[in-house]
Amino acid sequence: MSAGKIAIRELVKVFRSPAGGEVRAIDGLSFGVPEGAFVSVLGPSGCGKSTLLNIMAGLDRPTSGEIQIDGRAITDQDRPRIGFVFQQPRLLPWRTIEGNLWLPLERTGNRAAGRAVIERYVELVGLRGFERYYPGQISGGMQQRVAIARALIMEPEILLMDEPFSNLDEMTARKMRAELIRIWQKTGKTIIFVTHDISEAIFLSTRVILTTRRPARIYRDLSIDLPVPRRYDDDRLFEIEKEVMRDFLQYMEDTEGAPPPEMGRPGGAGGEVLLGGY
Amino acid sequence: MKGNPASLQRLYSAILLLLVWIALASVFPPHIVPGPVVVLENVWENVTAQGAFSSQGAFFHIYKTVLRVVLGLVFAMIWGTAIGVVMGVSARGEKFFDGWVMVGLTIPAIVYGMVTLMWFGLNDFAAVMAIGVTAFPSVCINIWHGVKDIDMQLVDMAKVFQLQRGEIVRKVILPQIVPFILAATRYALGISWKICTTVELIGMSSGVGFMLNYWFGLFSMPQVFAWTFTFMVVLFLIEFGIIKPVERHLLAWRPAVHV
Ligand SMILES: Nc1ncnc2c1ncn2[C@@H]1O[C@H](COP(=O)(O)OP(=O)(O)OP(=O)(O)O)[C@@H](O)[C@H]1O
Ligand SMILES: [Mg+2]
Repeated sequence: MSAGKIAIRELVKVFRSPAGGEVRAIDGLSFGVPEGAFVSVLGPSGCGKSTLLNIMAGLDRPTSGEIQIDGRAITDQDRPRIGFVFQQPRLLPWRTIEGNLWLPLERTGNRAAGRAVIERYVELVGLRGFERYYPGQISGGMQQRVAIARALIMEPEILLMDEPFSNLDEMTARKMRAELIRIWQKTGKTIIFVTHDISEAIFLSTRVILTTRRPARIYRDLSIDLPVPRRYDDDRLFEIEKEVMRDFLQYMEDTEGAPPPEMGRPGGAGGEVLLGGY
Repeated sequence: MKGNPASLQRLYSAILLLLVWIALASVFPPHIVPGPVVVLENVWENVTAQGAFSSQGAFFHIYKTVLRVVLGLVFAMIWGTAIGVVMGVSARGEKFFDGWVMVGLTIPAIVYGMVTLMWFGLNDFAAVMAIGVTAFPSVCINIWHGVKDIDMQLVDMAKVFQLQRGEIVRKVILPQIVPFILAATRYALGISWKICTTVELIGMSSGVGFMLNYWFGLFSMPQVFAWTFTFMVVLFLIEFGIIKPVERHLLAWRPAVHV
């Protein structure tokens, strides 16, 4: 009874806020991801998407619930090969672009093979000629592309991407999306892709998970059963997008200004008095 | 960063300083402001004298001072780094030591000199301890801040890319602290020279501070200037011969600061 590549069960994450209170970032999130799926996670800012990826990568522990990969819980000793494109590039500023791309390869130890791989990925993200530059000498979008190359270069089984294209201009982003789709089709990686951009999510993925405002729960889980690669001007995509956009914007509007549950304390009459204008 | 404009600037400022010096020397008599020629003559005499390399020769005194400073600096760097790291990584360590460090920083250096001289006698060990203890708090503070400043997001990144603990320390953490270690070294070096000459002045029978005191006793302004000048040359050699090149090598990745 394979639950697929990734199984997320009743995941809860509560942070301690600086003021000493509690921030409930994720509240009982459950879903499974089959091997080779391309899942986009879409949700309002601050709802807990990065937190979810951090837990998947084993960087953070859930307050309760669990995430299993290949049927096993993530532990420090034994973790699957995961490529992570963080929301910020997170490059080592004292290493050149080339040096940064070496980081995940250094343990394999094969200089010649490493060099060839690096050359290929530098080419792929369009940074040929910038190999000797330091991160501080290239633009934010270029840094993000280095981070993408770094995540791909180690041939991960699972690729976690946190708004990887949000810093790029539309033309570059389109090119990168096409490459990502190509790599995904060729290698059959499982990809979890966080984004704010509904059309991007629908264009790329086999499945889109929309989350609620914080604390994150599943608002909608929809499959996009259209052949890949897709075209930006495909009317079916556009129809889905229109419907999802309308629905989600309505949800956002309806919940506008509603306090997150943990702020309205049970029996906390203070808040209601103010609102009711007694 | 082309070297040219910067070194040109340096040349201009050196020339200006020299002109001011010459101007002052032409107004005041040599026992108040000796001119460059007189001072250089004295330096030359000191370093070319018979037995300049023997005990009580000029080079012997320079060697003594440099030795004390280096040993004291090493002491301060080792302890300052150790305690600084503890303070940086542990909140308990921080609370435990920060009072000490602050007190250590506020006590006048001369007090450390007096105490170590009285405890250990008028010997090199006392001088080295005085220097080490004086320079320790500033090293400690620099390293403490450096460790607190470590970007944990980079450490997380390294974990995801499956670097081992040792690798993370070597490849991700240490490079982040290097600038702080360099700053600590330079700052501690400045402090060390000053406290070293002071200790030599009050309790040693060798070293640059001792010679300054000797010529002060004879009221020889040209020799006081000559020894100060000698001292500055040594400092410059260390700054431009050792610290700057090391810094340039280690911090090559940093974008040049243009002010
Ligand atoms: N280390 C932490 N300590 C306390 N609170 C945290 C911590 N990390 C995240 N949070 C809180 O958890 C919530 C979710 O954060 P997260 O970064 O996962 O949001 P996000 O969905 O990725 O947002 P965005 O789309 O803006 O990147 C936020 O309200 C944030 O304040
Ligand atoms: Mg985020």
